[in-house]
Parts: sequence; C-alpha cells; structure tokens
Amino acid sequence: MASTPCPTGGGERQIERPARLIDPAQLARTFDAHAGALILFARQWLGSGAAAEDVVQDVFATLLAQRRAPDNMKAWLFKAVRNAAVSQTRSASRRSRREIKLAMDRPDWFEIRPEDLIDALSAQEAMASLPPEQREVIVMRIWGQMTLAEIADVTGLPTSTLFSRYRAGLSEIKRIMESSCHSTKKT
Amino acid sequence: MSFDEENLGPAERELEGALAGLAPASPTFTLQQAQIRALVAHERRRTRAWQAVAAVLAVAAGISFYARVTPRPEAAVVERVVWRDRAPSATPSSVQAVPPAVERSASPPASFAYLELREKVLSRGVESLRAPGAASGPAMPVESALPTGRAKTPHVAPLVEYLFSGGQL
Repeated sequence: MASTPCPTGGGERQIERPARLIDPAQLARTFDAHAGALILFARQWLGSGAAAEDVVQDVFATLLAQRRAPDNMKAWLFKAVRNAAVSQTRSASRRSRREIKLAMDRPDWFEIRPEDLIDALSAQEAMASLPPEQREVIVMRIWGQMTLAEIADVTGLPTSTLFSRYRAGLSEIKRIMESSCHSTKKT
Repeated sequence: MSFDEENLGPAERELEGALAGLAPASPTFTLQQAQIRALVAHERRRTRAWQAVAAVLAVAAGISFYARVTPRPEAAVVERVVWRDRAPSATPSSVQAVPPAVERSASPPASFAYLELREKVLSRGVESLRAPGAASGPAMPVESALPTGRAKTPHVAPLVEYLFSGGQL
C-alpha cells in the first residue's frame, strides 16, 4: 500500500500515514475486482451461492476490523475465504452432499453474456466435474489472477504440484467440453 | 524451474483465455453491507466484554453481600465436668510393686483425722466418741477412741479435755 501524505496545515511539514493502514479506496477497488472471484472460489466447497456470499462478506468484515492491512491483500482474501469455507463445510455436516451437488448444478456461477467465447453453462459443468484440488487452483489462477507463488502461499503446496494440478485441470476441462460438443453435434 | 504460462501449450493457453473471459457472478451484497457487518460484530464484541465485566462484578457483589449478611457461627462453649483418674505416679512398674493391702492400711494424715473427729463430734455429739461395745460400762478413755496416732497429737488432747470439762479448763 502506498503511503499518502497528510497535510497538516504547515505546507512544508507533512506527516505520513502509517503504510499498513487499510485504504478505503483500495479496499473498494479490491472488492470490485475480486468479490465475484472470491464467491466463485467459496462455492467450490459450499455449493450454495448464499453460503458462499455469507462467507465472503464475513471475510471482508474481518478485513475491515483489522487495524493493519495484509501485505498481499488478494492472497490474504483468498486464504481467508478458503479457511472459512473449509471450516464451514466441516461444521455444516448436516447439509447433505446431495444438497451441495444440487446447488453446484444451478447455473449461476458465471454471468451469461453473448460475447463470451465459451459457453458459461458448459464451463460450469466442466468445472463442477473437476476434483476439488484442481478446481481451486484453476479458480485462483484464472479468475483470481494469482501467480502460482501466491497460490502456493494460500494452499501451502509447492508450485510444482500446483502447476501439475493446473495443467491436469485444464486438460480435463478441455476433454469434457470437447466431448460435450461432439455429443451436441451428433444429436 | 519456473512454472508459469510459458510452460503451457497453445491449446491450454487458448482455453485459459476463454475461461478468463467468463465473468463470475456478481455479489448480491455491497462493500457498505460488509462494513455494517464489521461494525455490528465490533459492537457485539464490545457489548459482550462489558457484559462479562458486569457479570463478574455482580457475582463479586453477591458474594460480599452474602458474606456480610449471614451471621457468623459463634463458637459453642460446652461446659461439663470431666472426671478423670489421677495421673499415675512414677512409673507403672513402681506402682505394681506396692501391694494394695499396704496402701489401704496406711493411716490418714493427722490433719485429716482431726477434721473427721471434729465433724463427728459436731454432728453426733461427744457421746459418739465412746466405743460401740461399752455403752453401759465405764466410759472408754477418749484417747483410745481416737484413730491411730490421734492421741499423740498435741492439739487434740486440749480440745477433748475442753469438751468434757463443760467449757471450763
């Protein structure tokens, strides 16, 4: 976070604000840029969009309650969402897997826009069929725009493992989408 | 070895670009709602802290009030007479060495014999000093009625003479 000078009326004397304080403008920019990706990320464990939004909102509330901004806010947000989602999944054992599967099948992962190069529903189906460990890497890499080093910081895994999972996930998505295209053309 | 998009094939890069074109669904909440939630959570924590402080103070006040109102139990004084044997003198072996008959036949001290005689005279009269078998015969000398060693007591003889003389010595 860049330190912004704070004029104190003297003109020449300036007191710099602490560099680690959370800047509201930067927080708003981060929210606009990553809130959707964070919700998509949380859905990998929770399935339900409402539960994912609840977790993300809690994480932003936690960030606002902190006095100091994290070094890497994006990585911190993804890590916090991951921890909260995993924790909630463990505690919410009452929710059956069937309910989570039904929630994941709802076509609301992505905005449906005509200019997209790829069908949003097909992409969601392909993503939902991936193993969770591959899916989380793909979501953080593509929609979170994180480097493998940042993902390694979030997951605690080596980058070689993450890269292998990323490639395997992409290959699986490609295979699923190609097979679905072939079946559509045949029919 | 660096793991980045340079290591991906062209088909994988194309798929990656196509997927990146998809926009995740927008959140239905705003940053202001998250701020409100953070504020509510902060106030709730602060309220709970004060509630905890108030609870501790209430418990402390209750304990002190109870301790002050409740009368302290007074120390119960039990008065009773405890009869106890006389402490054995010397060692048990020396006590056993003394035969009980000898102990019983030991004459009482002179002062005790005098008091016993005085009590007898005051309660039954001088006549009681006579021997029980010589009621009709001549009077038994008073010295013989006295306990053993009694006649030799220098203070008793004048008293007996005084009593038999009718108050005239």
